[in-house]
Amino acid sequence: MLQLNNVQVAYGNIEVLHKISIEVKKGEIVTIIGANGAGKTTALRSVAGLLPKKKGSQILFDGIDITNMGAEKIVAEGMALSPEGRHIFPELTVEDNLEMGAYLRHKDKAGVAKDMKEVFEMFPRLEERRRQLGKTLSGGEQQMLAIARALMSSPKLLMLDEPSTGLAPLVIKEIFRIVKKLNQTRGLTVLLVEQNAKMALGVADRGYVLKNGEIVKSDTGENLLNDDSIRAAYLGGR
Amino acid sequence: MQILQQLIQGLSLGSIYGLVALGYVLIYQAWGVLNFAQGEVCAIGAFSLLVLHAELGMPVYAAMPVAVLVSMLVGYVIEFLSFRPLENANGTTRLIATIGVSICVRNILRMIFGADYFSFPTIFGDTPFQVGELILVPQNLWNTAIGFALVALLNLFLKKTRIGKSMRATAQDKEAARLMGINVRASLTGTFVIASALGAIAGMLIAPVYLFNFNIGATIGTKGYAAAVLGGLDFASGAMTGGIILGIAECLAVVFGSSEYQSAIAYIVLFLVLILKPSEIMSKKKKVEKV
Ligand SMILES: Nc1ncnc2c1ncn2[C@@H]1O[C@H](COP(=O)(O)OP(=O)(O)O)[C@@H](O)[C@H]1O
Ligand SMILES: [Mg+2]
Repeated sequence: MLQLNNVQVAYGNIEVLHKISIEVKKGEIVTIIGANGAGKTTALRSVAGLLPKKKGSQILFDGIDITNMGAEKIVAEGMALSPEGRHIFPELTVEDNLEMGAYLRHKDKAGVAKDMKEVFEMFPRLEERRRQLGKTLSGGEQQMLAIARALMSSPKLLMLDEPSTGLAPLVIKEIFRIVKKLNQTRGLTVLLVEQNAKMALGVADRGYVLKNGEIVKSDTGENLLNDDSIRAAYLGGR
Repeated sequence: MQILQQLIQGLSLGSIYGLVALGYVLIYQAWGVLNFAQGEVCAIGAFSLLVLHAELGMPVYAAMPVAVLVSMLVGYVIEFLSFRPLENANGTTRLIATIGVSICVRNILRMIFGADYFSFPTIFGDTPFQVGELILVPQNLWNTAIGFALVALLNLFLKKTRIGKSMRATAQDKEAARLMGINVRASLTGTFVIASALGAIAGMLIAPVYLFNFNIGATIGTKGYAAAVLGGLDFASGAMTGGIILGIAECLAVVFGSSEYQSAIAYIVLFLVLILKPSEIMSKKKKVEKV
């Protein structure tokens, strides 16, 4: 579904991703874990088309080359990103935020209405607050809105950047449960970036470990979870 | 009675100021910069109507839409030449660029039309009629109606339509807007052009009220800027409220002072707002991110 081949990204002169290669197969949940500043967000933003890639990089999505495609075009191919920091539209209502998620599907009114109903079933809190402005939601609700908004584009691949940041443990559990369920019932492919490595490896089929802009390890979620060096570095030694 | 008379006059002036202010606000929200060339776009609207209607003899109902189109085109050129290349420059640079554009446009108008005053044809008639003791001028009543109607229409567009919402989304978070598939480039340009159209209409409606020469853009721009700032640089309702307060204040100044005070009011308002809450004016408020 998604393939990164030797992807190199720099901010100005400072290279942040050094030829990383990652693969996400159809129907998988794949996670990228790594310390703060490792380059996880940069990786997702590059895939989503928000950052330019250096020559020699290649990103394939569902059979097409999206290396140099802009973000607004990539959405149309079936990829959605719930960005770090949520980035919901603060002055739009919950409902309008979701409508913007389905911006490119305006010819499919019935489908959008059906999906809107589905995300409201998934996140009942959002339905209660459908006419409230985005900025009035709590952090957890904003995260739900960011994910729900991404789902409204009806993506084949959903990318989540640190969905657990700043949330209470119960809310985090709920969000991961929903992601897992989407994957199992709809076959939604997920690329998940987390600092909360334990949680992420718990739901993921496979994981990549990113360190200083390089992939230093990749394995199944379970194996990484039981790997001593990973436990020491990212799981607080437990 | 004289106060009521002035209130009506103030409402009429104020609704036009509100339209001009709305142009400032739209561009400010989308681009994060106050466009000091907005008054000049109003002037272009008025001069286009003058040429098409008074010089070339086009009927008003045809000349007005054409004049609006001309102004939208000029707005597009301004955006293309002075806003787009500076998208990533800092706020001060961009602000100064808009001042540069306004000086440039004003002098082009001066080259074409000279410094003479023109008598601007009233579009809706300036023969006053009497209702009780009140003296009403059709043009003023129409100005009020059109001002309010346009604000309501714009509000509807921004709040209810998909494209309008996408423009607001773009103004609030460009990167997130891209992630939705919104063409941010087109959305920004669209906002600019709509602001130009509003400005042009305001320019045509207000031109008969003022002494009208190449300098009118500066006058209109100052009023619109003051009204926008007074309204908190907020969307439709704020701009309109600011405009009406300014319009009424100006007219009351005539009642209680003398007509010479009228033109000072906008500067007094600006002065006060800039002293009392300067931060909001100089930089677009950063959205607070909740944890
Ligand atoms: N906009 C930016 N400009 C310059 N450097 C950046 C920018 N964003 C991130 N970086 C740098 O790139 C590196 C990777 O950042 P990031 O991808 O955000 O890491 P992570 O998401 O893993 O915490 C860091 O060293 C960070 O300082
Ligand atoms: Mg990050």
